[in-house]
Amino acid sequence: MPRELVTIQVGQCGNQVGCRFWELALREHAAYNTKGVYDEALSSFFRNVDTRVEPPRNLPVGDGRGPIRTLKARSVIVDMECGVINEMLKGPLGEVLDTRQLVSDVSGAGNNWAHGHHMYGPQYHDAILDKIRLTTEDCDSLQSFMLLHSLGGGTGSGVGTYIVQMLADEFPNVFRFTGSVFPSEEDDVVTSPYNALLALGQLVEHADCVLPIENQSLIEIVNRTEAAREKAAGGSGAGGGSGGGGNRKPFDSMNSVAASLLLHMTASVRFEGPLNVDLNDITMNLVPYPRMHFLLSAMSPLEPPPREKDVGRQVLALQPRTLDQVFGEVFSREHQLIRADPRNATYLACGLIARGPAATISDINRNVARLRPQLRMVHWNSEGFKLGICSTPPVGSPFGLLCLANNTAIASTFTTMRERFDKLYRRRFYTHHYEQFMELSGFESALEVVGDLTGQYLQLEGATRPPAITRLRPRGLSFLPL
Amino acid sequence: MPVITLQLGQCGNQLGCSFFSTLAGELSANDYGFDAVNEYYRAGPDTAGLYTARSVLIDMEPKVVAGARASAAASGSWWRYSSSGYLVMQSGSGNNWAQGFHGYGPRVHEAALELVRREVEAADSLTGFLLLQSMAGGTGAGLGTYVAQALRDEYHSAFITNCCVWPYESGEVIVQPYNTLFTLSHLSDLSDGIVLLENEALHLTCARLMGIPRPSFADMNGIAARAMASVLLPSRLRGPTNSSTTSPLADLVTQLCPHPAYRMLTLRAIPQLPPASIDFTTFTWPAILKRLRQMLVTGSVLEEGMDWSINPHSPAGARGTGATCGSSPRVNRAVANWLVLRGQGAGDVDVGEFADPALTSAWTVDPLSVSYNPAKFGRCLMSASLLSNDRRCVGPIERMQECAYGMLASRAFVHQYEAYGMSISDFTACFARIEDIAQRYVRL
Repeated sequence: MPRELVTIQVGQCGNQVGCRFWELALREHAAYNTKGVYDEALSSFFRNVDTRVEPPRNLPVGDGRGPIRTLKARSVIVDMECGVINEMLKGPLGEVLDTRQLVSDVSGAGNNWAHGHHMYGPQYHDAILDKIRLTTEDCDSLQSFMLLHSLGGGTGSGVGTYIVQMLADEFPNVFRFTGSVFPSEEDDVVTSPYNALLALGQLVEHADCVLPIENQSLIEIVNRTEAAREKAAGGSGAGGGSGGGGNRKPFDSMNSVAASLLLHMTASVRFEGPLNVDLNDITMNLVPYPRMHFLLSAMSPLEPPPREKDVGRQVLALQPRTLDQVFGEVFSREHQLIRADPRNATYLACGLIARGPAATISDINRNVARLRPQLRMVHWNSEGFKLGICSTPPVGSPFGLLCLANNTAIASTFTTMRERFDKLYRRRFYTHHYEQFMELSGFESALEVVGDLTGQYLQLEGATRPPAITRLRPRGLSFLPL
Repeated sequence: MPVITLQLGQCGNQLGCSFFSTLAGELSANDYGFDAVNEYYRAGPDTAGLYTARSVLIDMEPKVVAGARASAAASGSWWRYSSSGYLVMQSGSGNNWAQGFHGYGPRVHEAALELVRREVEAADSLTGFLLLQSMAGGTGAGLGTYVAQALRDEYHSAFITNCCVWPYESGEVIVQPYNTLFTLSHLSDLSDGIVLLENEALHLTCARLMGIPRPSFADMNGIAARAMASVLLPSRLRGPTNSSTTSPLADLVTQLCPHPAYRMLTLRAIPQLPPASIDFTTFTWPAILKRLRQMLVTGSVLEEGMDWSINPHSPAGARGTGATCGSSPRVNRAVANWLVLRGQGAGDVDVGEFADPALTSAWTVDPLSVSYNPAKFGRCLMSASLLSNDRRCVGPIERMQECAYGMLASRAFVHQYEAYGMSISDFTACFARIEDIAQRYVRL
């Protein structure tokens, strides 16, 4: 009996990341499921459908040895303009994505959060809820929703956060994870500061766990990887460019990195290991206070898994040589998926999930002991790490490591977002577009929510020294002097 | 007399699998008699002529139980797990003690007790239950405690012994201070004896003594399983009657835990040797007993690195109250000790050193029990194990308390437990109980 995850991809960015995610998920399962059986690992993301009958019938996992017929992704696809979706459905993923689970409109949300949240949201409420319900009914025991979207636009940001609120109301016991792409400074959408902050206000209230991803970080990561790859390719004398890099679309590599994050996070749910970490373990251990649920993520190795023709010297030259090296990398600034330096801030909680058959608890403990003195931890969690080990490595590498950290560095991200927001809001630039759908008080309340949260994080920033604590007296021996 | 084992959570199931394998290996290597096999295995009609472990496997997510059952089946050994004796749910306990205890507990109550009932009915008589669990997680800790409570209500006269795995102090789970202390405070009322298996100690044993530089959980489980088997396999009491132990588990617990406030047991099993070295090692009883005694005196669970200057008869070791454990090198003191000797000449060895009254508290009636079995254990010509109701637990408990107090003072993670109906008063009541336990042992 599987534990299923339902992915909801909203908006252009969300759908592009989602697309990459399904490709990588299929590749990962294909690599480890050599017999082509529909096992429990596959069923967490895919349904097994018998399309020979009409209407198509879902085949259960059973004993995990039944053959795969047609795999359909457990996903709901939402977009208010159909360009991206149509292209997805025409491509190789068209088989895997189910048009039953598609909600789309024609004209788009105009990069306007309010248009998405206050107009399209309610307008498509029933349609979206219907599709989600349909998807959840196909699940035996749904573990969580994963929402993929960006915060800078209109659909992903507005409709996406509307959906999060809806999920909180309709499915309160199912975890709501979001992979949210935060806009970078050079974002080409002029109103992205508004959209981002308004969406953030919603995520603080209604999401269980947010994984912020910044485009700028992804760009830097991909550029570094490409540069290293070219150097390796040039150095080893292999000619002909860096393995088909010119053929890839510009956002492909970036989306791969974001998609890999989800694969690593759910690895322990899908595959076996000596120390399993479920998604509810993550929320339990890494969220010390209800609203402080923003996790910085970092992983290594970072290179998107190679296409078949890339495998070879070039790729091997880039892999970190040792597991220890990998540990050092996930705490470094360059490997974070948002532009923040966690080492200069305070860790509230840190989770490490190691993948690979050679990773043992002693490797992890040794590295944690080595790196721990360089990290600033909050006083009530000065030693604690949440550890997980999954025996199955990521595709293309003998081992992998994911670090999810609840770190006060996120406060600087929030502050930057506020500043960008203020620059526009001070003069009420563009607010008339939003006022068509909402009151300005909505802006104020979002500001307040985000401001409060930032304050909470900053308060914990310096809390590395414990205050004096009164111990309790032993109950039965209260007559004894303390 | 049969003992029914319950394997709870990922750790409990992995440890249990290791335990039954080790036990099976030892039972095959030497003839301990039918009763020994019957205690932990039954001839099962449902496993095609092979023996079935008297075990119930419980976990709130399916992968580990499936793995344990599969590895038992694939091992080619003479035992299997029962084909129906397991209970799994889907979503896991999220490392949340409250979710295990208050959330899943009532939900699985009936089903879990039904599985236990089936095992009890398959046994002609019942000694009691052995619960294997970790203390840091959600299922082993939370649900495990609930199951212990349910067993206590259902089977009043059966023994309940817990083998609890104490987590690494550097942390495997961030909320382990809460989970560990909740488990301990509840079990101290429910259990007849709690054996603490410390991950740190097992790790160091593997790394320093067994020649395994990067121990995995499988290695550590192997060490723990061996130590448990070394006291739970049959042995004959030395003394005027020379009677054999009818059920090691029951006798151990009755003898070692005579007082309800003192239930924490420490397990020491030596020698700890890499298998390749066994054939090249010279075993002598004086050497083994001397090391084991010093381990008891210093409170260490490792066979090496002990402070040999600590002596129960020196002024520093004199009976006194005051300083808390860990602030000065204190002599370890026990309520009672049980020494198990296995191997050549085990019946005649002089164990007078262990009868030293300075090692135990003044009010114990029966401070030392010694039992032996001439059969070799683990290919070692001579081996000795010591199960003590001693002060060793205080150090880890106090350190865990520090963390827990710190977290509670900042109310960190408290909302996760409040979601399942716990309140701050539950936290403080539990911490007060732990203070009780620790202080009792300090003042021993």
